[in-house]
Amino acid sequence: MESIFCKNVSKKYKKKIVLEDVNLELEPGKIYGLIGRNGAGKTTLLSMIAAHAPVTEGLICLGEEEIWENPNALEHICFSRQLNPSMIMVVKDYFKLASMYYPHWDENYAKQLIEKFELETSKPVSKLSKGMQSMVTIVAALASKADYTFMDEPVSGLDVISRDLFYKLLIDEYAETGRTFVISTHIIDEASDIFEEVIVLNQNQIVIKENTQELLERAVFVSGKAEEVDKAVKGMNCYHAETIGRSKSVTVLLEEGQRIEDSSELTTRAVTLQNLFVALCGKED
Amino acid sequence: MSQFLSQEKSIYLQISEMIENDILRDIILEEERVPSTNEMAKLYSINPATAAKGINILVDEGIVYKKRGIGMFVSTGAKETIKKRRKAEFYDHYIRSIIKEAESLEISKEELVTMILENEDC
Amino acid sequence: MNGKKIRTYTLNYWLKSFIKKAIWMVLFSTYLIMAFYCIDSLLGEGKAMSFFRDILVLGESEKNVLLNEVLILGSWWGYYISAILGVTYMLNYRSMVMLPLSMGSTRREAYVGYELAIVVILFLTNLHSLILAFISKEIAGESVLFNHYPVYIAILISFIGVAKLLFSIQFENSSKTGNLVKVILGCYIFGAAIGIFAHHVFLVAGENEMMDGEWLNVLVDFLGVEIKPGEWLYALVAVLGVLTWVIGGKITLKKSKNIEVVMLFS
Repeated sequence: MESIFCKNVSKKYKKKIVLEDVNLELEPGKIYGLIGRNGAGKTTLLSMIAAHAPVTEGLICLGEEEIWENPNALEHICFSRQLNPSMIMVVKDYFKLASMYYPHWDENYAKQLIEKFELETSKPVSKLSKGMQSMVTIVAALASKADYTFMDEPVSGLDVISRDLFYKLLIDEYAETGRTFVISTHIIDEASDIFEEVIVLNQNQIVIKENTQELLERAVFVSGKAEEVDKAVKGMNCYHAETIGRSKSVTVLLEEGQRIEDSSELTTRAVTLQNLFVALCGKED
Repeated sequence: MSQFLSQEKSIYLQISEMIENDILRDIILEEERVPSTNEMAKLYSINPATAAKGINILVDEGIVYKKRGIGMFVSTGAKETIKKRRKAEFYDHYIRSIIKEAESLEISKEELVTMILENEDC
Repeated sequence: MNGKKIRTYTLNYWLKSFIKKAIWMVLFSTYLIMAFYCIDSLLGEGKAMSFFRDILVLGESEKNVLLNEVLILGSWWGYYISAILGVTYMLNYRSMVMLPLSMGSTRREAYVGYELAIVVILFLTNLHSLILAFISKEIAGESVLFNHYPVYIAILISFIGVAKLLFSIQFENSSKTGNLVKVILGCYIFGAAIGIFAHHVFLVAGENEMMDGEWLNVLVDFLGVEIKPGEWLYALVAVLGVLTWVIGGKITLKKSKNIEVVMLFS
């Protein structure tokens, strides 16, 4: 299986730029997390890669071949999105269509998943709860057995137990098949352990694409007396600095070779992915 | 995120530590099989690659070895290896931060030692 | 292009879905109307259904053959229902085009499958209608629908063709323009229906000078059907219909590049 390449991809509407000059390589066999604020362009990006929407500029390829209008490439991709809550189609029929269109659809696996989630397949989508609607998209995504599977906020509306079930099912499937998954989510910390790599979208750009563990090892939360903090983090990538009285705190992303000097004046702490995301993408006062 | 793992330390380090703790506590004996990468990934809801990284640390240190086609096993003498390494790391992992804290409270090293010697608790 | 997918798409799913609808809409309503007509003619002196009789403008020889009248009524009803069905399915592009697109189909495949499904649906409903018309012709020797079928089929194509043309112009998925198109479509169908009914009256009366024309004979030779003087209008509409279908299709395919799978999703 080849990588997917986005080359200088932009998406612009009449007055709005959603993504600008994005370059990305998705290597096969990984679970990627895609995070970003609402409206940052997560859905748009996945949508363009799956050829659900055209690019305004740029090229998206699977290996050497462009994906757009290309059945050979498209049969390896599944983008399972949140359904329109007013859809009157019955769940059973939706899966029937999915089984027709996804060439590698696994009917037995789908049946197992439907049972695990206790999905009522005779109901129209509009009559399902938000959580159940998410389960439909999860089943479709997993049972598609597509080499590249994208999920847009798959756990939206799911309670914590169902979310847990989803993560376990995902890991099960990934461990067995090595399929590539790209999952966009707002529930960051929960899912961060699952992502081998994380992609952060902010201000029309990809600001981070890195192995999750390595990224978190580079991130440090430093706090203490303002002058001490400033001294320790001089020349480093600092984010979300906050000052209260004489104390200051800041989140730092260390580059190769940098480190925070040990000092009794400073407290350093590890940073979770969610904290890092807020520091990077939150509003600066 | 698993309830077994904390946010403070890299996941893969926690994995290797947990296995080491199990070895020290005789939960897994020497020459017994260690859970596979996939088993651990599923158990802790983490990416298999991360679990693999944790196990590989143990492989590199000779604590665990691979039997082709069967799985990962605890090496003979692993317990000793772990104890030796942790002893060497003891100062960095525990003592250093105690001294730092003591310094900020103006407790001298002599006072510290007295505290340790005179305390009946443990 | 994956021909297998198109076949699967059309035959497996949409025809099954259509057949369920067809059974109710076409067959059930047709035979219900035919039964009502029988009862009305036999017991109610035909008062309720005289409206239909006038519209259909049956010839003198047919007026007295109940069975024939019933069959003709059924065949015309089936014809109009197929137009409505065709438009219904055409407006159903959310499922017929967007869903396949969201599941990895190319725009070309999805669109061709959509066209194919509508054509097959129209064909099947009209087949039923034509069979009824044929039987009535065998009984009474004459059936307007059967005798001039090519023209009427072409009129049907014009309904759908214009609808598709209007539709293709707004194929970029704005829900506001979508509603506007539905309104325009509704007016068109309604207006055309009135026009057709009115022309039926003129046709048999044969009196409207407006519709005479020498150049008509050229068309008669070209189309190879019997066209009465008053039917030139139909012939024109027929040609326009085919044209609009083709143009609408080409525009849609061109604009399909910009289709975004949005309408299906929140």
